[in-house]
Amino acid sequence: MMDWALPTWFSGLGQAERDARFEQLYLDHAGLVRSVVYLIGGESDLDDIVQETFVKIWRNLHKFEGRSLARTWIYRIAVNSARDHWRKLARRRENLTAQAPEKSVAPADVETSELIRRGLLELSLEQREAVALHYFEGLTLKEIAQIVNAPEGTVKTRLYHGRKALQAWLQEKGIES
Amino acid sequence: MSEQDKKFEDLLRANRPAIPAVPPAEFEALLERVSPRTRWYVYGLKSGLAVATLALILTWQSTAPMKTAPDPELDALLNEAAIEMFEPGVGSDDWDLYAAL
Repeated sequence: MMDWALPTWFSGLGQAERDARFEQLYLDHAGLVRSVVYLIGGESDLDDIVQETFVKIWRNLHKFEGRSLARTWIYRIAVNSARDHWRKLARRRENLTAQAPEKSVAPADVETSELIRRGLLELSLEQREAVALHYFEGLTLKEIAQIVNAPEGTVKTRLYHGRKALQAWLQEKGIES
Repeated sequence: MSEQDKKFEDLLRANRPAIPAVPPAEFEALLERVSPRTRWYVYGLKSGLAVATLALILTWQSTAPMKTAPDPELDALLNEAAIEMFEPGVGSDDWDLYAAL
């Protein structure tokens, strides 16, 4: 795997080399982006949002200055894409006032991991970001703070309340820790 | 942090939600290689069945006599598409379509 920590990923390259390097960047980070978009933005339009995220990465390559790790920068773009998508969905849901709000129903045979995913979507966007990035992506509070552009203390609070809310939601569904 | 909170953290980490698999990337590439009529049939199906059908058609085309020289790229695409053919839910309808074509 290429060392994407370098700020000079794409400088001084011809078009063909640039394309090849971007393809490598895609291969190295597609899983990460897909995972973040899915956990934070939900499953609707997943492939489109992943694609849009890589378009944003491509368009903003020249803005990356190497002040953070490449991975952190890519996480930030993915989180922002997922966040925008979720907000768009929320607005759409608000507009459909005649329709009853979706209630998550948990059949008895649903696996714990699937229940956790559903519970995650019940959290506020900020809490969901903190829980998903910390527990499922394995990021530290400091890294999350950089990605979501918030103080570390704020992330810690979101994580605490998010975890508690998720725990309570899962207990309602019969999942005890 | 309480013991229960720690247990809950362990539960979360041990049950990371599964991320849906990437859809077959070869699908569009396969579509470009068949006739407009076949493409029309495939779009009509609109399901995973379509990939299997395409794979079948292309397998038949690539093995038929009087065809062009072997195409390694096509072979690779077919190999990947072949995996789709054995996915659960693929019934016998695709064979019917294949026969019809």
